[in-house]
Amino acid sequence: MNPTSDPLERLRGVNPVPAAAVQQLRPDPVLLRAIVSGELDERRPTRSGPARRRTRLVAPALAVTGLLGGAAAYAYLRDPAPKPQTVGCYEQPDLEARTEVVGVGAEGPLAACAELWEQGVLGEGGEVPPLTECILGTGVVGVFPARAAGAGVCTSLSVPTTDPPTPTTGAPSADVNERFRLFREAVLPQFVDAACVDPPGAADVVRRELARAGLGDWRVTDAGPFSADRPCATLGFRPEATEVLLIPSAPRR
Amino acid sequence: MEEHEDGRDDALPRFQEIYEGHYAAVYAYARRRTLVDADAQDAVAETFTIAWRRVGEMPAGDAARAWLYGVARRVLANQRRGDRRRASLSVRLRGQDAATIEIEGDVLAADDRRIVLAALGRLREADRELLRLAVWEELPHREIAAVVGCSEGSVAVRLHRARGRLAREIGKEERRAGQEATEDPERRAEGSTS
Repeated sequence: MNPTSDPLERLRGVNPVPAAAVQQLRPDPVLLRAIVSGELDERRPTRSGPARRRTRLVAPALAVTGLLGGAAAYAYLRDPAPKPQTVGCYEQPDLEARTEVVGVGAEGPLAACAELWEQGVLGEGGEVPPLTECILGTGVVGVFPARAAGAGVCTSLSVPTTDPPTPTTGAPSADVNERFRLFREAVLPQFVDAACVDPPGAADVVRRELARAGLGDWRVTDAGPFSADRPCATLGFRPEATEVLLIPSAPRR
Repeated sequence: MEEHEDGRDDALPRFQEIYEGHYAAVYAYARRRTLVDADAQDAVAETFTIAWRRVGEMPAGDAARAWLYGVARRVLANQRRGDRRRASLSVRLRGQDAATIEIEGDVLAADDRRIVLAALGRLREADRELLRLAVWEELPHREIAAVVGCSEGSVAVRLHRARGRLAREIGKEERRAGQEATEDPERRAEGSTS
């Protein structure tokens, strides 16, 4: 099965970003401008400390993801790789339950996990319970059996659902990661190509594309204040919170 | 552009050169260690923001890359600590961390790759980082030492030991996979006769 017994060579073969892919990456000019203009620093406190550190980590994330509406988006759109990759299949409706991590095929995470139940890897006897997919803290999809918690399994785990609870006996629902990817691909060009999108217009575009992508239950949050200097909206994505942020920015020249 | 806090005129061109020269490497470093692309992008932004503030301290040439990896390493560690406060998948998957599950689905689907990554996930973080720096980032021992903060001599020793531990874990994973492969047909056969 493996062509070599050298563990380092085998490790080299599973590099998630091979050297050839690195050579194709291009620096993001918008991020560079944001850093040297102090745009990222403006959003953080100057002193560190336990309570402040969290803010410091979140603030640049917001600013940077906001810039995704700009040229950083090109990096994403250039790269076809970011799409659903793995799913955690849980044996119980419990975040501490036994979990199997598997790759997600074209049929989505529910189908991937249902296969494990059919094979007896999860549960006993090959019976597939109704399964529900939820978005975990990292934005990754977790699939849980719904038999104990019923329709509110994601709610009971305090994690967002990706869909109304869907039994897996029929065709699995579309993968939420895939839907998010489609949403981003649809929405970003509308911001990249525009010199300035005002906040109401931005909210309309985002809501429309969210609905088209089957993510109509996501929130659109105004992360303003918008000002005369920064009247335009760029986007920040927080899939782990099923939220899209509208972030103030200067018009593009 | 605001004036840099160092007040030096050459800060911007120097930073720009560093940014353009190492952006791809820093992004790849972060992406290899994170579960989702957005986290890698955040880590890159944070790393270069720190680099801009401390551009006067940055070493020249290849040493700058190791310096940036060192910063990115700490940024990612902070990110992971934040993740652990949330319902994080990465800390619930049989003790494996994000390094084990950050890979593409089609990669996971391949048995041999799953074995290698599962084995990597069972090592201590220090061993994992050494191996990744040596094999995935292809850094020489001198730069690895700079990233992890140890002597060049100890890198060779620690890498040798980490390699041995990886080989042992791969062996364990292979035995486990072999066992599961033989048990599955038995289990199915039992199911069909009951």
